[in-house]
Amino acid sequence: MSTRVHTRGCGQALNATDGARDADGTRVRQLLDVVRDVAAEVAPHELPLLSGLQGFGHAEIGRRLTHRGRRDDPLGFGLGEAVVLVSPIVWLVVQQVADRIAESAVDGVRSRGSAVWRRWRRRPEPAPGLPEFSAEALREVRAGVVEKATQAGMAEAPAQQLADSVVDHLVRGTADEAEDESEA
Amino acid sequence: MTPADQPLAATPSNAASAAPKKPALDELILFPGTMQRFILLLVLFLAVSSGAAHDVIEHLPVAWGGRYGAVLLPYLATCALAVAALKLYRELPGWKVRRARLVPVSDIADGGRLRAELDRLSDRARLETEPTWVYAPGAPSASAVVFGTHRHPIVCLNAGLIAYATLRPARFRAVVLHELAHIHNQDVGVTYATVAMWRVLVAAVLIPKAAFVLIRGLTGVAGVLDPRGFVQDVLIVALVYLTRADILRTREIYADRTAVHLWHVDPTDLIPAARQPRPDGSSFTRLRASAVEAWRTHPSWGLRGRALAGSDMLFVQRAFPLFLTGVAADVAASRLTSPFSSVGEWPASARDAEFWQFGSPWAWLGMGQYLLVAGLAAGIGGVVLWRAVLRAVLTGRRTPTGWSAGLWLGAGLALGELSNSSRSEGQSVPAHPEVLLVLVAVVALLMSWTAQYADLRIRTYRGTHLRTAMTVGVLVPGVVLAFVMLWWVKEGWITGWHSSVSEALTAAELPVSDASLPLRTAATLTALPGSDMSFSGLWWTVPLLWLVPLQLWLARLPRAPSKRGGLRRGRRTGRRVRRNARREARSPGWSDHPPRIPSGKASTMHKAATATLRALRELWTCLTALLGFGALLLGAMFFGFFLIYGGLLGNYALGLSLWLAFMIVRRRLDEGDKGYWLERARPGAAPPPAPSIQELRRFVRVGVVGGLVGCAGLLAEPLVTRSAHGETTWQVQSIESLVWTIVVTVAVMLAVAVVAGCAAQGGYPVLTALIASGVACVISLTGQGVRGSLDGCLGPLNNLAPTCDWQPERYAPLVEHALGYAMTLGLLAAAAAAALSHAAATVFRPRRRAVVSAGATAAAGQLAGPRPAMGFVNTIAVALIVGSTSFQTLVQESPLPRNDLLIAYQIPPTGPLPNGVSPLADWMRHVGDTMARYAAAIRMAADAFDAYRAAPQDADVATLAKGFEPACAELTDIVENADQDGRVISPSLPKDLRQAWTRYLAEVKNVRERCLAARDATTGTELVSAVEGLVAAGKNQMPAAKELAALIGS
Repeated sequence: MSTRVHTRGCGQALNATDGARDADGTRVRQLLDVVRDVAAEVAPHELPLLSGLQGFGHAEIGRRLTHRGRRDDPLGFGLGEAVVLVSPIVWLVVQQVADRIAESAVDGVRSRGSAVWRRWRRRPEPAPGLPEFSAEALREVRAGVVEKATQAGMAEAPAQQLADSVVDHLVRGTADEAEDESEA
Repeated sequence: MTPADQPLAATPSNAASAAPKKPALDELILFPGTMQRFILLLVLFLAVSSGAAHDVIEHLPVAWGGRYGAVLLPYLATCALAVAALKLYRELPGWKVRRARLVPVSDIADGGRLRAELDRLSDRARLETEPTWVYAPGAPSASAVVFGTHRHPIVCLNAGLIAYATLRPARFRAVVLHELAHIHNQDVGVTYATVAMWRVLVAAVLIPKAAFVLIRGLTGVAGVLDPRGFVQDVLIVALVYLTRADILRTREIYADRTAVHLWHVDPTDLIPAARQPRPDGSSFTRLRASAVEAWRTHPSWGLRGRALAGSDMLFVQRAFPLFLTGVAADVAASRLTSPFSSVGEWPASARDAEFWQFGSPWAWLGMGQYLLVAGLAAGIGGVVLWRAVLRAVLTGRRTPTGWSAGLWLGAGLALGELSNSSRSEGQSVPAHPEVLLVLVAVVALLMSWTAQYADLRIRTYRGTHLRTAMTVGVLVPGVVLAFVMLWWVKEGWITGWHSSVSEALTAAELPVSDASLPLRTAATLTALPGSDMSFSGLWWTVPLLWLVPLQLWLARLPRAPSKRGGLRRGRRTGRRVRRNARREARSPGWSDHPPRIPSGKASTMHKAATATLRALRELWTCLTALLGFGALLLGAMFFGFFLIYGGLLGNYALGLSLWLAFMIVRRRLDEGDKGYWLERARPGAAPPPAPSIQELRRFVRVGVVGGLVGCAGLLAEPLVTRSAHGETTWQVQSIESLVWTIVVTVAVMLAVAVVAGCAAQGGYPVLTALIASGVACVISLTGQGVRGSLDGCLGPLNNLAPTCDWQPERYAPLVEHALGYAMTLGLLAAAAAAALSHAAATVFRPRRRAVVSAGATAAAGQLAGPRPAMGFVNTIAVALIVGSTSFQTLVQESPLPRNDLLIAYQIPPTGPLPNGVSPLADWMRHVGDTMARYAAAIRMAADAFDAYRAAPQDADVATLAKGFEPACAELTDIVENADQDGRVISPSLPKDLRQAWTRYLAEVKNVRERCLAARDATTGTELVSAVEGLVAAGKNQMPAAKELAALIGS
């Protein structure tokens, strides 16, 4: 009887699973998709983790992925070995860069106000799609991923590979969107 | 390219690499003791909350609920806190899931692989409750945690572990099974119950208290709480965290072992590669490391690896948990019973009437609390000792003596007491810290008893579950510790000696100024344990210390080297099984053979016959059920009847029936004998060598000789005391006689114990010395009883009775009181003396030990089978002991308030003594005086009424009514004091005299009520009606007075 464990955001996320649509109907790339694709390539054992997060809203996914949790709970196993998880790294870095891009591109006060209003009324925020990543942004992403990965304990070479994969998928994503738009 | 690809080390050396040489002992063969420690923590929480509530209520300006409220309200407040904790316990899992943002595993869309794997694992574990699976997406470590409630556990897997499901499946399974082991071992419910209760306590009690103290300190406002009392709270916080961490570390090790041994997890999968090298620094760094480890809830990896390699470390004594247990037990006992301290402020009549009577719920509540706390403390210490002794016996090492365990436990109790005194007295150093040594010594004695009894029992037990044997071995020191703690906490010995000899003597109307030494000794004794002979005073627990080993000796230990070699296993059960089988073969069930119907008859007859048979069978079942129910009801009525009206014989019958019922139940439960416990734990192991004991005869002989010497000493009393004191009143004489009895008996017991201790030669000195002293005590007191019954017929040895008269019940109270002291204080002192003499003997005679141990190994494996005759003796003995204990403590009028004890110790002589003193005559004179005073009071009332009638019409009625005051005062004095004074003059009266006296006093009380009504009258009509009532009551009183006078005159 798992009565105590609620899946929050179940009702909200009906439209999140098959990709949100923009105002003009084009398919918007989700950060979760990017992370999933990267994981599928680099760390397939993390796919189950991500699949469980599909039901949540964007912000919620972010919170859950980056919550590290307490260390010395009673009846735990003790300090287990630290596994380097790529999904939180990728999410964090890409989210940071995307936020920075979005901030500089959008009219500040109004959208922030409406975001606050929406959050207060508990309406689901429209899952923000990923903005366009310029080359500069991609370089930033790559550097950030390598730094965070090596901080977490990954060796230099795998970290570079991970960064390459992230950049690839971001680039490919932009290319796909362009294709969709051209088809529509 | 998988991340985190740390190269696996080669097989770690600290894991179980080498196969053990012999099968390791199953650590669950005895209780691990952690559940008891959890329960002690919960009791501590309840105690702290009731103590705090009591502190608050004491200082409230309004006394809610009056006297009873002051005692009951703290417990009600505690119940409220417990209910809040229960609510929190249920809510905690939900909060944890939300706060940690956990995601259910069922949300994972991987084709259900992970879920299937988890289901497979919980099938393998065969758990009763299916856990809820969740995971923490952001936690990188390959770990898991289990929380929730007992019925709904939740297992949370970290993201790293879910990654391991693909990367390292063996490791994944090991960790998950470790968590399932926690559920299997029922750790979840009790851990989170303590967490919930602790949080409620901190929020509701400790934080407000701290805030209060802080505010008081900052603002300087005088408040109700003394900051010095806060020291104990800090101690409690540290104690709780350390105890919880220690218990949880033990549970982690047990969970590891469950996963490895029960579910076949590879230890290398469970314990990761050696992560940190052990600190090889100086002893200071190691000490610091272990001090830091004391606060963690998980043991170090090295320790876990060693625990998987061998179970030895789970049986070793550790000092620190015992110390913590002692502190927790002492603080819990004193705080839990602190509301009872307000009873001390009740008016004496209410306190005596309601608090001390047998039926009083307060006394039983107090007793229950002490039994709980001391039972837990001694239980925890006892379990540690039993485990250590078991390991020593099975591995051939020297068995622990139990002294160090007792010292640590006692030291914990002492620390608790010190913190108590700082709380109650306000001083950080108590007035008499040296009394703590007594407490520590007694606890050490009890633990050494436990260890010796454990050794004896483990070597002689051939049943299936060693736990059953351990329960008895741990229960006895538990109840004795309850007795010790009850007196220790109640009297507050650490704050000083509270009773005053002169006060006690004055209350009993005995001379104070030139009181002789025995008199002063008696007054001192009334303040010591042993004076309270009530059931709730727990004096009856101490004799168990020698009765239980005696029973074991008689039942199981060889009298002489037994001719029958080999091991006898479950012979009694085997015989019974065979007997049952034979009986069944002879007479099949009634239903198996329906009567044969001749085949030629019509089938309807056959049907009718079967139907009748079935109906009769059902009727028989109904009848048996009704009979059973009726028997139960009858049994309950029997019980009550015998208890109250049956007298001594009735109580013997009660003891007998209880014992028989117990035997029947035990045999029922024993069905399905699964063999010898050691065979099941270590197949093929040889039974432990038989104990190196002396035969029972030797030390019983010592006891008998001592008892006879004691009898001689008691007989010689008149020769000694009469020469010492010349003219003494009979009251003083009987008290001196009692003191002489006690002194002689205890001296004999001490001497016997010293001799037995010296002679023990390495085998169970405390047990044998206690048996010997107990035997000596019983013989001496029996002799005293016989002597007392024959008193008066003994010529120059007459003591208190001038004439020869067979009156056994006259002396019985004296023997009873002496029994109380001898069997409690005397036994404990004897045990201490035996221990000291044994220690001295071992120091001075080391060579003897080698000879004895050689003889022991020769007799290895030879043990007497259970002797059938012993069953009979057991039954009779239990019936006698249980019967007399219950009779004495439940039915008789004890306990008496302390001030009345000295009065109760006086045995009135039967007839006038040579010096012309006769208490009965004195009492009759007292009755005459009372009647004269009554007559005077009536005359005063009549005078007042005459004054009223002679007064003018408009005189103030109220002032005239006040004229009744002297009469009412005299009557009140009679009502309140005449009975008490009469008791002092002659404590015991013939039954008819007592009844007449009681009736007379009741009528006088009625007259007094009318007098008071007259005194308080404000109008003329009221006065007249009151006086009319007074006259009527006076008329009622006359028959009672006449009857009393007639009885006296006869």
